[in-house]
Amino acid sequence: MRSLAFSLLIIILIGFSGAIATVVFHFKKYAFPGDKTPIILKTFVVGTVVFLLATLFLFLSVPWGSFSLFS
Amino acid sequence: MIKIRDSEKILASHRKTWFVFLFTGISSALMFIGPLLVYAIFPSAFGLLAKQVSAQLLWLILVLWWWAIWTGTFISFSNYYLDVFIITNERILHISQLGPFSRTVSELRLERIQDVTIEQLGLLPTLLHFGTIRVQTAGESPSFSFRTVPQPTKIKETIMEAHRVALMRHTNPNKMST
Repeated sequence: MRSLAFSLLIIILIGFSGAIATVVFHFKKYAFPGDKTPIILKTFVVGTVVFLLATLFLFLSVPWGSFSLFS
Repeated sequence: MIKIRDSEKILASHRKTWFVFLFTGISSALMFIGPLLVYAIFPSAFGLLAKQVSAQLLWLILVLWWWAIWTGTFISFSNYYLDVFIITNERILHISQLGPFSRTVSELRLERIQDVTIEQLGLLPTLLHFGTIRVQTAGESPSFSFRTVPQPTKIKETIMEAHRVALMRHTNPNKMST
């Protein structure tokens, strides 16, 4: 069960990575001198890191061994 | 980064009014707090669910939901925020972010401006002071318009003043350089 959950998590993280890369790419590439894009980008990155760490922590704390697909 | 020449100075930059993003912002906020509201209304149901599956798994699903809302909100915000209208002392740049991978950039020399029109149609645009600016150029180039921009009257004045200075520079370069 743990390996299945881990595979699902990897797929989800790959999906999130694409979306995160899109946002970061856009804000970095299309900023212009004097606008607030750097602050917005930092806010987004900090929030994303918080969510990533929370996800990893919670994933590791779930008792996967107690679940069974065929119970 | 959008390139601004060394000789160029940004006089003003404008984005669409906050009202354009309001509905998306409220939707995101509701989706964010939705699970918490459901828990507040049906706490016993969550207790039963946590016994069936583990509480950590419920939290994991909730965090992944919140992360998805966070990322989706910023994608929508980038579509709103990257629509920008920049007035420099040489040109007007209109950048329109149509989608995550769809963008148009229009550039207009200030000397070629023939007409600037503003439109504020309806109750909300009048009350919240936003509208559409249309800039018409000489020749066959189509006009470009920037919709739902705040304080369009002020922007029009900025454009007209920049246009006047650009025309003077264009016709009397020696006088302007002294």
